[in-house]
Amino acid sequence: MNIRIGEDATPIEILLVEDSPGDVRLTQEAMRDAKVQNNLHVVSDGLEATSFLWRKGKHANALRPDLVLLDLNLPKKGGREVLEEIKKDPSLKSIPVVVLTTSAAEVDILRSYQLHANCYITKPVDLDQFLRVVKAIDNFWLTIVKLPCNPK
Amino acid sequence: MTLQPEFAADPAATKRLIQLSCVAATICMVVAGVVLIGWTLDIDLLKSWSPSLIYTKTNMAVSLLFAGAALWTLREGPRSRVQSYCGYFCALVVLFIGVLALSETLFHWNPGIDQLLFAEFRRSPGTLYPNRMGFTGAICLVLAGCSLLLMDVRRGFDPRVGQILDLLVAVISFSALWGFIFGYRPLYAFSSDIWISLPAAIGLFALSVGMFLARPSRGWMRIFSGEAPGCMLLRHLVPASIVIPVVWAWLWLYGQRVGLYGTEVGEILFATTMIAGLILVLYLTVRPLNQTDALRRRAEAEIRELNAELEGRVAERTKTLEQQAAVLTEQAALLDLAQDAIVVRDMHSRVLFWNRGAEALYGWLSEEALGRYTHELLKTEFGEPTEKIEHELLRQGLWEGEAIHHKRDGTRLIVASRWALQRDADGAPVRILTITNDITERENAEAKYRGLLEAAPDAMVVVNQGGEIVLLNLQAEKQFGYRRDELLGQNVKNIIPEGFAERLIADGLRSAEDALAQQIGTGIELTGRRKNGSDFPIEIMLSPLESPEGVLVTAAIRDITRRKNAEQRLLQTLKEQKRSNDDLQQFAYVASHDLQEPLRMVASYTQLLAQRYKGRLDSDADEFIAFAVDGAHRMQLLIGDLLAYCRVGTAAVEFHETSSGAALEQALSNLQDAIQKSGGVVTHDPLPTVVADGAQLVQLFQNVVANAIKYHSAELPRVHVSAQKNGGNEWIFSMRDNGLGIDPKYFDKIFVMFQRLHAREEFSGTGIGLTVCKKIAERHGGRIWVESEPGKGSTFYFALPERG
Repeated sequence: MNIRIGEDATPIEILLVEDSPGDVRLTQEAMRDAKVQNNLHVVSDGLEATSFLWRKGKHANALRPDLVLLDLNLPKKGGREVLEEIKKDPSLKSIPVVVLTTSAAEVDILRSYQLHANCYITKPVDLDQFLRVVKAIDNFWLTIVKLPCNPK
Repeated sequence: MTLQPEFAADPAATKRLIQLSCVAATICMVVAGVVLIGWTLDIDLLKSWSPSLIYTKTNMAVSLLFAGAALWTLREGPRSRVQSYCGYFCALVVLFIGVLALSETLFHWNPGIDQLLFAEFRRSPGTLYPNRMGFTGAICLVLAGCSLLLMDVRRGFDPRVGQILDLLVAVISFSALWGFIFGYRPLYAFSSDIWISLPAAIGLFALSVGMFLARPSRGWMRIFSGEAPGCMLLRHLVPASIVIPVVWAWLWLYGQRVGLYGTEVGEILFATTMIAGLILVLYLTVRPLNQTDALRRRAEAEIRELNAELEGRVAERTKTLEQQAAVLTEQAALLDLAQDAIVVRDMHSRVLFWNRGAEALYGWLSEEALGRYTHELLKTEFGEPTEKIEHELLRQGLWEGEAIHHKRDGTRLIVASRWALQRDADGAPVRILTITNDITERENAEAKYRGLLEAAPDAMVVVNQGGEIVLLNLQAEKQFGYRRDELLGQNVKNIIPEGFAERLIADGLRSAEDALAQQIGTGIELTGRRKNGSDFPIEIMLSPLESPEGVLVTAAIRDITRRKNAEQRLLQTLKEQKRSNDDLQQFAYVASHDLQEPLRMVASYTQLLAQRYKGRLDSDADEFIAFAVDGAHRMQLLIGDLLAYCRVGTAAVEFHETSSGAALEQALSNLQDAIQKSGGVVTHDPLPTVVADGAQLVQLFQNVVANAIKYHSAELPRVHVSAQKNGGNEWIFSMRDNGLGIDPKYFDKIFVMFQRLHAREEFSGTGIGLTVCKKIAERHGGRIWVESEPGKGSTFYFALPERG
């Protein structure tokens, strides 16, 4: 199905994999003002992220996300592993994954792209910039880009 | 005492005289034996041998027996010690009996020895006591006994003393005999009771003559045993002069008594026959004398002939020598021209020739040197034994070597000498030609070089083609812990087990030379082994050395234990440095991530707080929030700069051909906002392409230009960048501004981390920017410095080595 811009469309499902409650809150703050209606699902570690994606345990009824915002440094299972698993799964690899992390290290950037991350963004320290970046993600991935149909 | 002419003994005569002494001894013993037989068988005739019936007493007979035996034993010639003692014993027995018999007569006592062997029942004529010998007989026995004992006494004793005693015996016995022969009683019966018997007289006379003959080479007897013609004459005439008159007198007397002729006729006959006899004796004596003389004359003639021949030869030889001398003189004149010292000497080392060179070298003139002994003149010292030199000279005809000579003024000279031996036609060595050069200076120079070798700070070892050590210096002894004599001749493998010998020897000489040619001046690192077996690292420099013994290899060996240790320490330090760098990288990562994380929280939420609640709280809250926001912001900058600094230090620098102009443009573009805001202008000259890490070069320009913009003066900031090559291989970039300028006392401080010259209120900043620039410069092998005056702007210089 097509993504509709505007009023009555089905809300976009976004999975935020983030262990820092502060960042979660900031992201939620930024998303609140977003033009596109969205449902932000938050998981706080890599293991839970995989449970959500593959609908296991308490996430058995989870929806397939349209976009994944993935932090790299996560407890239990690292963001890189999660990324790798997503991109290896034929049914999931079409979901765009935005790596949103504090690290500006070259190694992390390169590694992420090698694992087929769809984009890599360093979280800006400045609040305004952060908000702007999240809105930009919103805008870019949910409005400008054409995503494949979500077979839910 | 008159001087005795010395006679050479005639061995034949001596031998004959000794034989005669044996005959005399035999006569003596035979007489005694016959008398003793007479006593045993009681035959009067055998006891007295004459109608006078004067018996020879048994003790006299026994004494004569012993005396004969003593004479026989003690005659001149080889005899054993036992024989000698037997002889002395016999002589002592004679003396003992004689003394006892004499004491009987003198002291009128009777020890009972007279009748010991045979008793005499009636007194024979001229006997005092039955069977007691007469006084004269006893005296003769004492004298004869003494004389016999004195025959062997030699030291400090005149043999003529014994011979005088002997002579007394001879006179007494002979006069007694004379009495018996001519029937003149007083000669044998000296008084009524001092008689002597005929056998005793014969025995004693034979004994006395025998004692003379037994020592032909002593005392007066030397004249009889001599070789001289006079001695011979004496030997012949003395017996004749004793025997002939006695026999003639007796015959003459006997003829008269039996009435063959009258007194006158008798006297004529006696005189005539005496003359005839004497002539005969003289003739017989003179004949051998003549024969001897003829022999002597023939020998003399032969000697004269030989002498004449010898003189002829000498004359001939002299002539030859003179000719040779003439030639030699001529040659000597030529030799005089030679620069070397040329000396000719005879086999006794006497100087025969001394050229001008020798005069110049030694300071002795030719006429002073001629005839002198060279070793005295020059006080020669040789390095080897003279016998060895002489031996070599005689064997090979040549000798060559070094010696020490002394000049006339005593100056010591080291000389190289060559000797040549000249031989005559028969091959006998005649003279020695020596050519000598002064090599003192050369030797001293060599000594200096040896000193240099010894003083060398490295161990020096010279090795021959067989790998044997032929020369070494003090350092080599020290380094390897051997004494010099222990190392000489050793194989080099013993001190450098691997690498050296194989390189030079195993491949054979030619390849060794090739190997050498490649290795000249290069240090080969090997392992050396000390005497105690411990190994140590060495560096060897090799160089070939042409010598008469072939190509030698000189090895300068340096103990590099300390260098190796230093290298080891350096490696260790590098390792630690690397670990420290790794740690730093880890820290940088931690700083970039883990530290950023909470910082972002603080910064974000204080900002959020400021945005949402500004003006809704009281003014204090607004101020506090502003401080928190500012702090978080500065911390953010600080961490960012620190990260940049760490990256410069830890990231692998990638050097590429980089356009410094493009780097500057990139830096300016990064600073675009700040430049525009300040209204400043940045200009530059054409900039070169250099070999550098592009990103870091950008960073450097960016930091310096940013500072220039930031610390501007009242004027609008102007920055000019230029580059030029200095004399060396460096590009010097200069970045001149018209800013505040820097007091020279801060020139060093500004490049130190966190050092700031301004209060935060005046200019913001972390104090890391220039530190990063310095690090970048150092990473490129370059340097950065500043020239400035407060109020007149600053110029930052960056020197970058040219690579390629």
